[in-house]
Amino acid sequence: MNLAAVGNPETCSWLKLAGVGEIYPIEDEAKIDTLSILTNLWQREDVSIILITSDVAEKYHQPISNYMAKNLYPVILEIPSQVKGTKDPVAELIRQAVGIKLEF
Amino acid sequence: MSTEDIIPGITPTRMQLLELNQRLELATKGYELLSEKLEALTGELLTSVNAYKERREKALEKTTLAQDEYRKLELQLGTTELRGVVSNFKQVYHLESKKRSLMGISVPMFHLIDPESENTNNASYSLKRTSAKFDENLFLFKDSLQAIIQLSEVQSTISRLAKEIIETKRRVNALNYIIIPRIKATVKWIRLTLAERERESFVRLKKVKKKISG
Repeated sequence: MNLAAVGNPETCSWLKLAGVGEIYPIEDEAKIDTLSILTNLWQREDVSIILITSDVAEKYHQPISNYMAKNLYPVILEIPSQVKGTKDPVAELIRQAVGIKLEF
Repeated sequence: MSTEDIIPGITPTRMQLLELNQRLELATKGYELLSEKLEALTGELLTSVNAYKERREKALEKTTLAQDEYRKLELQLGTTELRGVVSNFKQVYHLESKKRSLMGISVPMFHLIDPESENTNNASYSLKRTSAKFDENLFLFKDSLQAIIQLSEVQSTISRLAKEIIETKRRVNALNYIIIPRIKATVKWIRLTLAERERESFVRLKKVKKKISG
């Protein structure tokens, strides 16, 4: 099973040094179709965790949440960052399940 | 309770009444069991949420540190040099995912397979061009990746639990608000119809008796 990372070049680079096999740095938002990278990744069976940086996660919050609500694999994880105000898909799931709104 | 609540296509007979009573018993039992399950699942979810918060904080701390160190490294080596090192870097972690059963739901457990244990030749970067600090940083990056993986384990547990909870909740509600009231309404309706029929035949008998004797 492999790991993959999608996000800003800086984070991708250190993740690569940490041992993440596949990195997809998004250098220029306008030139790269991030959504198709994501859809390709979550159709693959050999990838079990997709790491996404919060700037990407924020832009594609809706498709990611939709995907997570339907599928359990691969696990999509937003790399925690200091940036506040991003919507956490996990908090959203918990709200749906138990009706409690949590803040992280 | 209106007549709309009655299960359609049921004839008011004693046989049906017996059958419906059995169904009612089964539905009530199912309802009780499912609500118990729901309670247990919710408890489990809350425990996982606490773990998630804890691990998230830990991971956040580590990733911030890693980010800072990476920037320092960039300053030290220069952007182009570092990019070269990154693109030639070959150590890749693979994941081993195992499954663990939590209340009948399988949740994943991730385990990083260390490439160094498989392959001792780990110098995929030039030792001459990188500093000793670089090696230290590699450990740091690995450490934060580990924290991230642990976080994803809990996250996936939470999403599985949440899904199961939503599903169970729907079933509990369906039983409680639709199926059980419907069966009850139908039972009542059959009882009333049977009683009415009995009264009818009683009156009929009386009338016949009167005619015969009179």
